[in-house]
Amino acid sequence: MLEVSITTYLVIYGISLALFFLYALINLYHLFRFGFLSFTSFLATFLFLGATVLLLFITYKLGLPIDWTQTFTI
Amino acid sequence: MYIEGTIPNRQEDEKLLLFLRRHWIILLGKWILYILLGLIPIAIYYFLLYAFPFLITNEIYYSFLLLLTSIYYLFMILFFFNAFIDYHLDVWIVTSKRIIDIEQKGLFNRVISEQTIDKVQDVTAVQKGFFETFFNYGTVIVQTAGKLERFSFHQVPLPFDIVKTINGLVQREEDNLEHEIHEILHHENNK
Repeated sequence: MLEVSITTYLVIYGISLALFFLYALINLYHLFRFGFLSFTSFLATFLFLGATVLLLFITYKLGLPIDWTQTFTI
Repeated sequence: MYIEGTIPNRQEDEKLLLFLRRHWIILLGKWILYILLGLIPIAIYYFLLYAFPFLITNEIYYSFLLLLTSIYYLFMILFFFNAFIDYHLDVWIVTSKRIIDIEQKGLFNRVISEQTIDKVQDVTAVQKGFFETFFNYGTVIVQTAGKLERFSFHQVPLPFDIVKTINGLVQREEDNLEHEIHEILHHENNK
């Protein structure tokens, strides 16, 4: 019987976030290095970054009331 | 990074005639798929709410589902953006002197080919299927005498107009060459 804190979820979430940011940076690098500067590319980048920030904010707001020190047994 | 509508490594007196990307319907198709995939967590939420409500009310399960859904949507947004970049980075340029094919084949894999107009031998447009016919897009195949024998413009709008434009350029090059040959022969005859 092992007691695991639900903070473990946050660790896995953090690793997934790191992968997300790495892949996002690679995409942005490709766009800025090889893309053609236009209103469309600016708008797409802005919407992507805006949607990411919004989603992270919503996740934060929904996760705030949770007691992350709780544990469960496996 | 180039400004949209400019010619990479522009030569003297070179004019931009066509700056082409895939038809917007191709990008829209991928986006619709991702939107449909984005509805899955919402459907699962309502299913769990009515079938297994304890999974939503219990904080341990809820926190897991919250973070899982967050990561799912973050990667959906990323794939959305990736689909746009894939669409945006594939470009076909026709100038008064060259044909330039720029294709991004996945990450860290980019192919740029160019050929002068005088090496173009044949231009063909292919429009197959309901969507290509209805939205008027297709593939333009340019046969050349260079090392890369075929240039393919994939899923571009108005393919038959593109064929007409390139054929017009080829004809003009042939007319210029004929004129030059006549000038040389005339000069030789007058010696």
